[in-house]
Amino acid sequence: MYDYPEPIEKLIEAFAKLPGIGPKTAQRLAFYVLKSKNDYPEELGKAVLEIKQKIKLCQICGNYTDQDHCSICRSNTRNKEVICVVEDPKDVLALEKTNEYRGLYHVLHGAISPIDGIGPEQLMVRELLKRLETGEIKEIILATNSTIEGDTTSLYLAKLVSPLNIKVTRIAQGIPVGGDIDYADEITLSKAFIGRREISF
Amino acid sequence: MIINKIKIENFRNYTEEEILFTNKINYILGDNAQGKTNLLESIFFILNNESFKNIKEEELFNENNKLKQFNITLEIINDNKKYSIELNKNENKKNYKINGVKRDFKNKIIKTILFIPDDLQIVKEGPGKRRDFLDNEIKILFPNYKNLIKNYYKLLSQKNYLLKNRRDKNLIRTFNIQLAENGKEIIKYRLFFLKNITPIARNTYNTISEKNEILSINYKPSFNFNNYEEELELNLENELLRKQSLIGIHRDDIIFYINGKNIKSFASQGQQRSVVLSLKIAELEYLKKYYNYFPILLLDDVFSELDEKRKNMLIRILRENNIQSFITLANIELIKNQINENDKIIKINNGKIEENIIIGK
Repeated sequence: MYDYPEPIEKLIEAFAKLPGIGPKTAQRLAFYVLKSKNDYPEELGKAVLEIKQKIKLCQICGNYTDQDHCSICRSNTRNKEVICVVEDPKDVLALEKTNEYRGLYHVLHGAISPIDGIGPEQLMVRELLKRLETGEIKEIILATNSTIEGDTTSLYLAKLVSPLNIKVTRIAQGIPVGGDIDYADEITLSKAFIGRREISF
Repeated sequence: MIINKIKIENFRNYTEEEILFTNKINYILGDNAQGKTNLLESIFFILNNESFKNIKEEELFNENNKLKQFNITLEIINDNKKYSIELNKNENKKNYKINGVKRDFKNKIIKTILFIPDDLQIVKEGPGKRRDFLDNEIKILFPNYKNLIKNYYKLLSQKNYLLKNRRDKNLIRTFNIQLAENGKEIIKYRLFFLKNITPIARNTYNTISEKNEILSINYKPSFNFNNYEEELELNLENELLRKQSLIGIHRDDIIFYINGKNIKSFASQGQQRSVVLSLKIAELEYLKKYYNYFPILLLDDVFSELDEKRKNMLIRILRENNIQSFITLANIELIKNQINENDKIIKINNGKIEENIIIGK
């Protein structure tokens, strides 16, 4: 049976391990790299190496950074009395894009799911508590995903924080902006009902 | 709203078949293991986004097809307008299209009432079977309920894992809060369902029963659910000791009474069948009366279990209410007294349609 030369096979295999990449796409990517001109393969290789070498977790909030503290924690213009708790570094970016929130973040790196071996100890919960004990934080906003695991995590944190006399809020759940009510499923609708607001003038 | 046509591709033992239906009763005939139930399953699957059998969805791919995927397309007629629902399932994805436009499966377009031989056993079986039965029936009426049940059992398995392995009380309490929240909703639905269905089922049962028998149905909770969270907290130590969840809606039961007596131990075959048949008919009538909604009925191999009187009763209700029905049978003799010239006979042999005729034509 004919196989590609080993270096090609190796790259195909490496690509095929990436999420969402099947064998066909992996092959296409490998050939693209092979045929590409000039510095691209070197750039790609360097970028892949550096991401592991240079990126670490922010010592304060757990977000990805290439320094000891991330740019948000270092900033002087952020509101240092509010922490928004998220599951994933990607969520920080999503929230930052809104330009609405000017407080700090705390990245848990997952959500509680005992069956999958993830309890509070596997998440950055101890680090969060340490930040709260300083007394500078007035509010934490729980922005974990709207899943069972996300809800469990928020509920657990809310209970944990309750003796500290810090305001705890959970982001709203309901109908997406621009969404038609008749397209929303019942769970979303009932959550939207529970979270309804009075309109006053 | 009726199903005018189905196209099945690579589903179970079907390769590619297109079948036209009547809006009355469709009798699906064939020997065992030819694909009668598979046809019902395909209709059920596209309308409910799940099978009525406890299976992995991968089992639905046609074994002889190299590509792991199947398609089901329904042509629906509503107010003289035709539209199509298309389901494509492969190893990674399930896609729904309505009139060719990709949509999420969220709301049930047509409600399906299903009646399978297993249903006939629920009176005598364990509480788990009765809970499943009740939950499945409620899911048909209230799509939201399916998620409540799914979430509840997901939370329960997390909690059970903690009870067995990690014993972190604060975390268990967090799960208790969520279990109580979901559990309270589930009980509301169960009680609402029984409250509304029981009177209709009682009437139907009274008509079928030989003597003047009165049917009642009671919900038997495993704990005082008015203090759901407190009860869970009170049982926490005991649960940790026994390493399992001891109270909650997953331990409740439904009790059937005839003339005030619990029939679990003494009901005859006939009485058991009448109870289940009455419940199914009650659902049909409930949907029609309160929602002005016409469900379709899928009846899998149940006719061989019913006597003439019960068959007549069921068929009469289907005809009176204009309910489109799909009834599988191994033998046409079973319906010789019920058949009508507007009904359809669809003969299936080894995943192929052999005959598809309207009786009077």
